[in-house]
Amino acid sequence: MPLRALEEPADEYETATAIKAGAAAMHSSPPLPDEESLPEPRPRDEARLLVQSPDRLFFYWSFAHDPRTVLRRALGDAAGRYRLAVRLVEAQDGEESIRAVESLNSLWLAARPGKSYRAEVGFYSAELPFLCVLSSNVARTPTGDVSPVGDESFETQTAGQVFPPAIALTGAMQIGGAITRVAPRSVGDEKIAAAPSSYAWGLSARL
Amino acid sequence: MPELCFSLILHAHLPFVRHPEVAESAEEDWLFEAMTEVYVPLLETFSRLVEEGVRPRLALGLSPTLCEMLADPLLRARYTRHLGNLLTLAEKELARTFCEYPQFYAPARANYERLRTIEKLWSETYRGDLLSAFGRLQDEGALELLTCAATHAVLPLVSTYEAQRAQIQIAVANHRKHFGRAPRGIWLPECAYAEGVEDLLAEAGLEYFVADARAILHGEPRPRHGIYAPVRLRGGVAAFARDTETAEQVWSSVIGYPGDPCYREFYRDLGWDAPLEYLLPHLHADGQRRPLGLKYHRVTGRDVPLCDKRPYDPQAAAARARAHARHFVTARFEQSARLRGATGGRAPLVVSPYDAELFGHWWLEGPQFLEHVFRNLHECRASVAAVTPGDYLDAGAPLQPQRLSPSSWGEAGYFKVWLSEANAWMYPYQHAAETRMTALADEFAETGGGEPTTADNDEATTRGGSADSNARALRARALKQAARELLLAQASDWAFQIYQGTTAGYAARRFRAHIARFDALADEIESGQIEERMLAEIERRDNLFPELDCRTLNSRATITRSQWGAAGEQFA
Repeated sequence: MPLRALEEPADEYETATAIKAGAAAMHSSPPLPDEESLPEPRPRDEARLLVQSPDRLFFYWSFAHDPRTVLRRALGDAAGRYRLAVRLVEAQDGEESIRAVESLNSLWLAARPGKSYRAEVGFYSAELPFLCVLSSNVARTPTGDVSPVGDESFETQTAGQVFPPAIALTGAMQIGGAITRVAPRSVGDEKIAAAPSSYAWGLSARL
Repeated sequence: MPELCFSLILHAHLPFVRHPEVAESAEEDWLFEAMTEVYVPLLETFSRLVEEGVRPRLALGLSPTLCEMLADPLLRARYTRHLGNLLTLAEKELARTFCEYPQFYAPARANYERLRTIEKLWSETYRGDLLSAFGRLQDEGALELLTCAATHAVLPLVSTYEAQRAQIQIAVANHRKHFGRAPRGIWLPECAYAEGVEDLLAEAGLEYFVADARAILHGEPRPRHGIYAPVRLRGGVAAFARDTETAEQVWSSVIGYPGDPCYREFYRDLGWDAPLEYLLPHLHADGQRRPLGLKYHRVTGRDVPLCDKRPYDPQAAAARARAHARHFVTARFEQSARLRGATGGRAPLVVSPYDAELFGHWWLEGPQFLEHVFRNLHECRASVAAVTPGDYLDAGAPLQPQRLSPSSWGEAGYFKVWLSEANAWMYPYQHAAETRMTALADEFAETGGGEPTTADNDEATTRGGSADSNARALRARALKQAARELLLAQASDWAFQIYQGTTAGYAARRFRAHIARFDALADEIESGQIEERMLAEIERRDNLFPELDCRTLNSRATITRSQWGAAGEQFA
């Protein structure tokens, strides 16, 4: 079979037309938004808690207005007793932890499996109650373990006749009421065990 | 009744890497490599089996972004050119290796013959339309085609119900467009599950999805059949769990088949080894070396450095693939013996999902392995039945109701790969865009595509095309394109690549570009001042999902938030 020449167009695929159109467009395209830097985020009140794993959370927040300004306006000099902080609250036990976050807008937080958490960003003072400015969604961590809850009610005995439709689809046959068994093939003396290789890039992430 | 049911599931996906703004790109080469090494060979393998009466039975997921690229005329044209270039080089290699490197002549010959076959299949058999070929295999009963989230977003990290729903609804519509029917099942990107996803799937008419083993093993109540039977979730959707034993046999870097010393080494490539001046006519215009897919070495050994890899023997590798396939099927008999009695009166179901790209790209002999697996399964089909998830559901066995555990098939089983110190910075921008898109859709999505209504068109006709209707049409286009940019920003591929550090620069740039385009379009929609030239250029580049319905992104949901989860609550 002769090789297809590089320049020979395959009309049914609009080869030449499509490539030429792309080439022409390259020379006259208008500038697009800058893709080397992200646009300035619009100021808004936002607090979001994300689950990474049973024992780790990611919390980020943003303010529409600088909360320190609001605090100073409200408390005057007393505002100086407060520091901006994040409080992580566990919904069931009420367990709390607080961390100062003066110049941050995100934080990684330790958590426990199977718990529901809410994160708040606000103002902390050792002598005074926490002043919550923003509160996040509730995020529940996976349990990371087999459930202690069993299901004794679920029917476990399944009659064999539910499977013939599936068997028929695959072409398997039942002869004279007995299943024809095909002996598994032996691999003989051939050494089958695969040696490790250099191929496993990120594929090991699948296990 | 079989002793064991076996369900092979292949997930084929690539991010949207169409770049019409340049004549050629390394990223488009990802698609072309996958077409050459995976999709066409798999089509050929399964078609041959069907023709010979050895009907395979498996599920194959084709992600919407992949479908859009396979259907794209520009990419088809570029692939034809790419394949021709590769074949020319492969033919030159026959002479060069015969004269100068006889130890590499056999693999060079194999490369050439393989590419000739691929080229003939592409141009004559499939005529550039791989999607129709997959559809025919489905019609012939060999495949059950699945969809995937629209741009492969990790749904637990998408912040709004509307944005999650859009990923699902757009995917189902896209699948219908390409294959003429709704999909029964969906491949959740990265098998990433969190509670609430099942409600979206049920709303979209999907019957099942694939989850990691952990989702069911850690679900509540405990699964009576472990991972060897699917479970039923709220809304009636079924979840099938990945089998860890078959996963390890193929995926493991230590004991997996692809690591066998006989198999072709992936990282040695003619693009790195041959003289540059010889390669220049076949490289991109920048003259930079790149992998070309022509490889001559075998794995040789795990700890053997690349420079010491030995020449590849195609016949020895083919024999090894046959042997591994026998071993794999034999192992299923052994597995069924171990599981006997563990699943009550029913045959255990072993679900084995893999990335399709493993078979042929990372593991050249993968399609041969699959061919022989199905040949072996055909011979022992009375004992080990190859089924699809849909077949299993059709059999009508009762499924245990369960609430799954959030999980994924990524490293460590949760969401670390896509939410880590390296890539967490993406989510404030992505989530802000998701919220903003819903607001835009609520305000401006008048019809399915945001296009002018019939009344608008009548008015335009009467008044000879009023400025208002023209402005609305332009706004509709901008709204649709903003939705596309959001979808593209949500692709989990960017966070994955940044975490892996492989093509982190490209991935970060893509994410920034889509967020920047979204913001620019959103600003213009809100201000009513839409710059048409810029819009047209963005439409030209990011042209996927022309059928996109912007109403999927508005807040007028057909199921209540309480069914999905309390507003903003994650994993509740």
